[in-house]
Amino acid sequence: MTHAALAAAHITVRYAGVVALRDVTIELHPGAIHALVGENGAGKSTLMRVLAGARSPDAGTLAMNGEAVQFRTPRDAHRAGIRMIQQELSLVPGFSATENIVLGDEPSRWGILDRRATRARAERAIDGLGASIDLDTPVERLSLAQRQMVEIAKALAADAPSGLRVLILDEPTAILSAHETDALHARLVVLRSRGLAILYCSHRLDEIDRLADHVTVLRDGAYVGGGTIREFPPATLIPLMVGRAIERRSWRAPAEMVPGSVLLEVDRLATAPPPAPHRRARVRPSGAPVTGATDVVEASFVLRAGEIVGLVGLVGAGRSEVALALIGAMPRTAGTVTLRGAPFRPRSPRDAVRAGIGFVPEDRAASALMPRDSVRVNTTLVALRGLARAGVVNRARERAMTHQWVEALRIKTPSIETPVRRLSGGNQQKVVLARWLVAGDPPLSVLIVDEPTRGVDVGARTEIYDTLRDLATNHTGVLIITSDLVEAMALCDRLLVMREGRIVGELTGADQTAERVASLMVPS
Amino acid sequence: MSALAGAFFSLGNLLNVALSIAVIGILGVGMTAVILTGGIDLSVGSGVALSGVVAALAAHAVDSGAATGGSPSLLPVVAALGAALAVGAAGGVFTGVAVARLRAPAFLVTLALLSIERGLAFLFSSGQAVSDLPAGFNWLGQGIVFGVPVPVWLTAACFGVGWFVLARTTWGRWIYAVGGNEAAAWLAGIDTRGVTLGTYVANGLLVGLAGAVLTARLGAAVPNAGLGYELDVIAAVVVGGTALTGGRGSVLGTLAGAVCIGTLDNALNLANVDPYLQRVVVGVVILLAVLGERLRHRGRT
Repeated sequence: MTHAALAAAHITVRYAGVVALRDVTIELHPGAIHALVGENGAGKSTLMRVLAGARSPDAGTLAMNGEAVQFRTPRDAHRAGIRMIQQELSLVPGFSATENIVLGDEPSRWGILDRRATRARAERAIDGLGASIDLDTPVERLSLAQRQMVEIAKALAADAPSGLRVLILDEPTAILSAHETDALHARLVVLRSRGLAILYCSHRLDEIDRLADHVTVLRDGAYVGGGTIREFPPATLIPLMVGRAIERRSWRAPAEMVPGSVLLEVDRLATAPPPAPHRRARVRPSGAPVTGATDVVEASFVLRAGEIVGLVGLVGAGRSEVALALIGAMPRTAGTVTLRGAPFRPRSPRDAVRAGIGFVPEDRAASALMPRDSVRVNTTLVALRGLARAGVVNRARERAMTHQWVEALRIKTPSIETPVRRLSGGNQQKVVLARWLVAGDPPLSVLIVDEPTRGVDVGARTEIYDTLRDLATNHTGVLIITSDLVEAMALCDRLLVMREGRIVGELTGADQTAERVASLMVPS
Repeated sequence: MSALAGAFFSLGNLLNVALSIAVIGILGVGMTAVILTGGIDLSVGSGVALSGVVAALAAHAVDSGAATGGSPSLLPVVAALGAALAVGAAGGVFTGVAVARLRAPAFLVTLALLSIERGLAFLFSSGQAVSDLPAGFNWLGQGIVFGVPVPVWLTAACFGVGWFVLARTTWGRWIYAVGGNEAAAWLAGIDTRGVTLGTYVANGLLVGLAGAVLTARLGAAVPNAGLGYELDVIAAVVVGGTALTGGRGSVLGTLAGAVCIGTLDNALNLANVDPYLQRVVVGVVILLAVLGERLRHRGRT
C-alpha cells in the first residue's frame, strides 16, 4: 500500500462553538482525482481549508507520505507542495499573467527582478498546462476560464522544494461554460498522469462521474460515504448528499390552494453589462464573479399573491441578475415589468422598496448586513422612517419592534444590541428577513430572496422555510432564487428554470422533479 | 509639580483649554459625520480661511454701503455670518456632488479643494489680513456669556446637536449605514447619495461657522488661518475612536479626542516643554491612541 500524498485523519473543526467538521478522514493519492461532494454547508470548504493550511483543525492529524505534518499558515502548506485554487480567484487584476504566476516568489537578483527567469518560469507553467494564454495581457482582460488557467499555472510554478504534489480545486467549473469545463478537465487529466494528487470539489455530479477516481461525500460536517467512483455512480451520491430530514417535509402550498391576483408580470426582461465596471451600477454579490456570468437575455414570468416561485439554474445562468434588474439595482435594456397592473420602472432599489418589493441578496456579509452594527440596527434598517417622527427615531418603538421580530423568527441572540456578525449564519439570515417583515409602509407585496439558506444551519433552515411560507399565506408573492434543488422542490409551488440568461422552462406540480429540472438546467 | 497642577486645574485655565479646542471641536463634529460615511475632508483648514475672508469682506461691503450714521447695525454681522456659512456650504456641495454623484474619491476631491480654497482666500484678501470687523461679529469669538466664552458655547451646541442627529435621527442612522455597508444600505432603499451629499453640506456649514468663529476671535480674517487644521481635526476624530473605514464612532469620542489633545498641548505649555518637542509628544500620543484601538479590536476577534 502506497502512502497517501496527503491524508487527513479524524479532523474536527469548530467555529464559535458550532461544529463545522466532525471526525472526517480523507486520503488523497498521487496520480488520482478525488471528488469532494456535499451540499452547501456540508463542510467541504472547511475541509479544503484544513488541507490547504488555512485553518488548523481542533482535533485530528494531517500526514504527507505517511509523515505527520502540521500547517500553521497556507504558506506552510505551499512549501509542502499543496495549493488550493479558490472559487474567488486570487489574482491581481492589473498584473499580467506572468506577473501573477510568479507573484510572491519573483525571480530576482539583488532585489532586481530577473525578467528572463520570470518569463521562463511563467512559460514553463503555462506550457505544462497545455494552455495558450497571452502572458503579457493584464489578467482583468482575460476570460474567467483563462484566469483560472493562470491560477493553476501559478500553483504549478510554485517553487516548493518538492514541487507541486497536491492541487485542491474549489468548484472550479461553477463559472465555466461547458466548453471551458472540458478544457479544464483535459488539463487535470494531464496533471493526474504526472502523479499529482487532485482534490476536486464540485456540485456537478456528471462531471465527477467522468473525471474522478475516488469520491468522498460530506453532509452536515460529517463523512457519510465514499470510495471509488465505480462504487458510487451519481444516482447513489444524491441520496447521500441530501439525506436530510427536510426533503421528507414539504412547504409547498396545498394543491387546492388557488394563487391570488397577479402581482408581478415580467415580459421579455433583458440586461446588459454595466458600462464601467467600477461604478456601482450593479451590486454583484461578491461571491459571484464580476464578469463572465451571463446577462439576462430574455426572462418572462408571472408572480401571483400567495405563491412561492423558485428561479433555478446553474451559477451564472443569470438568476441573480433577474432579481437585480427587477429592483432597479441593475439597468435593464429591454422588456417591461408590470407591478399590480401598473408599469414599473425602478431607477434604484429605493423605488422598489417604496413599491413594496423587498430583496434579500445572496451574499449577506457583502450586500445585506452592516456586520458591526447591532441586531436592532440591522432589523429596522428598512422600516426606520416609519419608526420616526420628524426624523427623530422613536427608540422605544424601535426596540419593541426588534424584540417582536426576534421572538417571532426565533432569532438566537444574546441581546438586540449584539453586533450581528457575532450571530450564526442562520440567525443573520433571519435578521435580514426580519428587516423586510417589520411593518413597513407600504406593506411588503413581493419578496425576492436570493439563496435563502446559503450558509444556514439545518435547524434555522426549516424555520426560514416556515417564515417564507407564512409570508406567502398572507398574500405576499415570494420569488426564491436557489442553487439547492432539494430546497426548490420542498419549498416552491412553481419552478422557473434558467439557462444561459433565458428562462427555458416552467415546472409545476408533479412535473417538478429533480430529473426534469436538471435536464432543463444543462444544455443538452 | 503641585504648582503646575494648580495652574492647570484653575478655572481660567480649563476655560482656556476649552477655548483652544473650540474651532477644532466644531470642525470635529462635521468631520466625524463625514468619516462615518466612509469619506474624509482634507479641505477644512482652507475652508475656514476662505469663509473667514469672505465673511470679513461681506461685512465691509455691507458696512460701507449702509452705515453712514455710525450707529452700529446688525446687518453687517448677519451678512458676515451668512457669507461664512454660504462659503462653507458651497464647499460641501462641491465635495458632496463630486463624491456622491460622480463617485470621485473624497480624499482627492478635498485635496483639490484644499488648494483651491486656500488660493481663493489669498486672492480675495490680496494676501492681507482683513480687519476692522463690526463689534457684533467679533462677539462671536470674544464675547463671554455667564463667564464662558461664546466659542465654547457654540462648540458645546455643535456637539449636542451633532450627537442628537447621529444617535437619534433617521438621517444619523443612515450615515452609519452608508459607512457600515453602502451596498446593503442602497439595497435597503436608502438614498445613499442623498445621505452622503447632505453630510458633506452639513460639514460645510460647520466649516463656515468655524471660519466665522476663528475670524471673530482674531478680530481679523487672515488668509493663512487654519493652516493644517485638517490634520488636527482628523487626529481628534481618530483618537476619539471613530474608524477611518466608516460606520463606527461618535461625536462624543471626537469630543474626548479633542479635549485629550487640547489638554495635552496645554499641560505641555504650562510645563514649559520645548514647543518643538511638544509636536513630537502630541504625535506619539495620537499614534498610541490609534495603536491601542487596534490592539483592543484584535483582542476581541
